[in-house]
Amino acid sequence: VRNKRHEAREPDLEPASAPALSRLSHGLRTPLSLIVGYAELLTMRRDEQTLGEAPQRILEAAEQLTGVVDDLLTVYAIDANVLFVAPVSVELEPLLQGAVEAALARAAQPVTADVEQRARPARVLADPEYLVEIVGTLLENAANRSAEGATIALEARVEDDFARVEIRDDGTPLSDEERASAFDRFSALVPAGGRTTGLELYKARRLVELQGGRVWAESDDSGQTRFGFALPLATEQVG
Amino acid sequence: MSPISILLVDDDPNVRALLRLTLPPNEAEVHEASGVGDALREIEREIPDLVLLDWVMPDGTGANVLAELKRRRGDLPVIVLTAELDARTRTTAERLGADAFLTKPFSPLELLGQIERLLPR
Repeated sequence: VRNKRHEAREPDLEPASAPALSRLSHGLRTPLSLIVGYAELLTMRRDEQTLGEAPQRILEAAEQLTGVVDDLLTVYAIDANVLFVAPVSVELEPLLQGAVEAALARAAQPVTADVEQRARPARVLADPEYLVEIVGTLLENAANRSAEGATIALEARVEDDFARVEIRDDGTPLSDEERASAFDRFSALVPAGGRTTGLELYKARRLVELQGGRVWAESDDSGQTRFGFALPLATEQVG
Repeated sequence: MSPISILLVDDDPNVRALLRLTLPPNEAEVHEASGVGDALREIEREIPDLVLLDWVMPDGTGANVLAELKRRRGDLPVIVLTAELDARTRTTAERLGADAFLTKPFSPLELLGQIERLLPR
């Protein structure tokens, strides 16, 4: 295990815009509404339905809010060059399987995922926790872009000294502008008013970059869109 | 006394669930719309007695729905419920005829008070 402090680089700072503030406000205030609302209902009523529904809803909303706060703090730490990552040699396939199961369970709409691992089993140099989070973000992005019941494909393969992971969906193909800005903060790809803040893809990109990798987004003529990332293979596998 | 018909327009199903629980089932017949397009279709089918309207939704803003509601029935009570803090949102909603404007997080008690004010029983 080695701790690595990311080398100082210019953070991708941009002026706060009204749409960005709107997304943040939505992301923070919506779960807060649920917590405040259900808590107040509990103080007003003790009927069976309120008692049965409110505590669980409060817990779920608190979890959602925690996720948004964590995203904000992590992005802040990345941009301030103070986020530490701990890359270790990890086997990719079990992490991908775990990430897929977790992401499908969280998906706002029912989707299924095909997981395909090509070539030899890969070990990558990555922080396992962040790796699972990156895959989860890309899967959720694909689920949000897909119609209900759609199948999302995840493919992992080794190419040169990198493991490449791609998530394919049949959602609306990206324009050139969307492709170029897909991983920006408050990307226009993420519709306002949804359950996302628009920071998720940006955070995924920066976490990949901190681990020596890169991301991409592209649509092809067949109508498929791929969001992917590549991470360096662990030293024992290179060559 | 027959229940009042209320249309909930919000893209977040969890917010709609909270609003449904807030509205007493014996007093309100609740209909739901998950976005602007859905709301416009619902309005086409039936004009409710009151509308609770989110403002920023993935397929557009509440302004589209509010304008259409007021065009069809100018005195239809509409309460805007939004996470938007921008004062321009409130100005726009009021200019389009919103009868009340609550920001999220909102108080269910205050919401029920606004409904009572707009539709006294």
